[in-house]
Amino acid sequence: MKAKKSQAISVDLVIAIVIFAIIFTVALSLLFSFQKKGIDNSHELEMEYVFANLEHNLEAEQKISVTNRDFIKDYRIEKAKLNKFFSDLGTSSIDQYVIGNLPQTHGIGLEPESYDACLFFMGNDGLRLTVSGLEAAGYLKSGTCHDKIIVSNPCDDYKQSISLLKPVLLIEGSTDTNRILQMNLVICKK
Amino acid sequence: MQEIEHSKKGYMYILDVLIAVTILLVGIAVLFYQYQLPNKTVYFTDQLSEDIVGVLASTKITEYCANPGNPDKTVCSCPNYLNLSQIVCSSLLVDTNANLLSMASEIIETSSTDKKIVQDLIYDIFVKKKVIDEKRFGFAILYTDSSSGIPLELYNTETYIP
Repeated sequence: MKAKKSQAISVDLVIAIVIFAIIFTVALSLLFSFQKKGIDNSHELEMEYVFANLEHNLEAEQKISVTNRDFIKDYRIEKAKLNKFFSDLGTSSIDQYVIGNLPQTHGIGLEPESYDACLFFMGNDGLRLTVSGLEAAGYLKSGTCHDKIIVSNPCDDYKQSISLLKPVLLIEGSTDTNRILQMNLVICKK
Repeated sequence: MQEIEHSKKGYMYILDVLIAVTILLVGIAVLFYQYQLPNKTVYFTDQLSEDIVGVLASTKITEYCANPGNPDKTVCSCPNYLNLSQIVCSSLLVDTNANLLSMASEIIETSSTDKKIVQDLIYDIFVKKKVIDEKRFGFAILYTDSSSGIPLELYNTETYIP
């Protein structure tokens, strides 16, 4: 009688463990699939146009009013104009500036309600280039890109971080200082 | 008496189930917050190869080098790129007003100098000067020979030995 009871308990235990393992596995897979879905849902469609849109909008702005902020053209960055862009708009939202103030343009391809962006340059020493006293231009929900980027990943408080880079020629005016470096746009998805 | 005993047992089982379900839910919640995937950065590099060729095509030799074409090294110099000086500060290059991509083409087409020097230059500009992190983004540049039409590997981060 006792052996029968213990056999029944053993079967019960095995069934319980199997059910527990199944539920546990299903719960874990659901958990990770939800997290993965969050990453895959990025709006990559527009990403390839981000740099080109920025360039076109700066060019358009220059045609409307001479601000001398059109720092990029055909992979060439003019340092004087870049300084002007950073000093005028370094602590503003890049996307809002482009969308809000320019007629006949369509921003850098991102909705300002859904994304924030930081623009910065990496020098040949692997460090961020300081332009007009700022290491990055742009505005995030927690403050300026400059303040955030010097301490951590600017997209820490966001759902996702998308990084775009482009080699560009920085023209400072002499053969000693002209050099190819990395232009970066970090896009933080809200 | 037996009925009371049974209902007591039933309560005990329900309580047991409730405790088990609570522990399970707490466990899943802890797992969810503990093992949330970190905010991963997605690198969007679809245009990278096009950009590498684009920047070479947009950069003129004269933007890097003073007095190109003059074999006198005290007169001609490319201060930021020593490998470029070897190509430019010689009488081998015909078009000294060209961009870097055209210059590379001229060297290959005329076979005026060792092709390794072009590889060294690309390595110097993009990898050594930290424009492209080769550990993260490998890249290759192919050149199609105008006469044979066969693609020639100009540079490949996978196979290049500095």
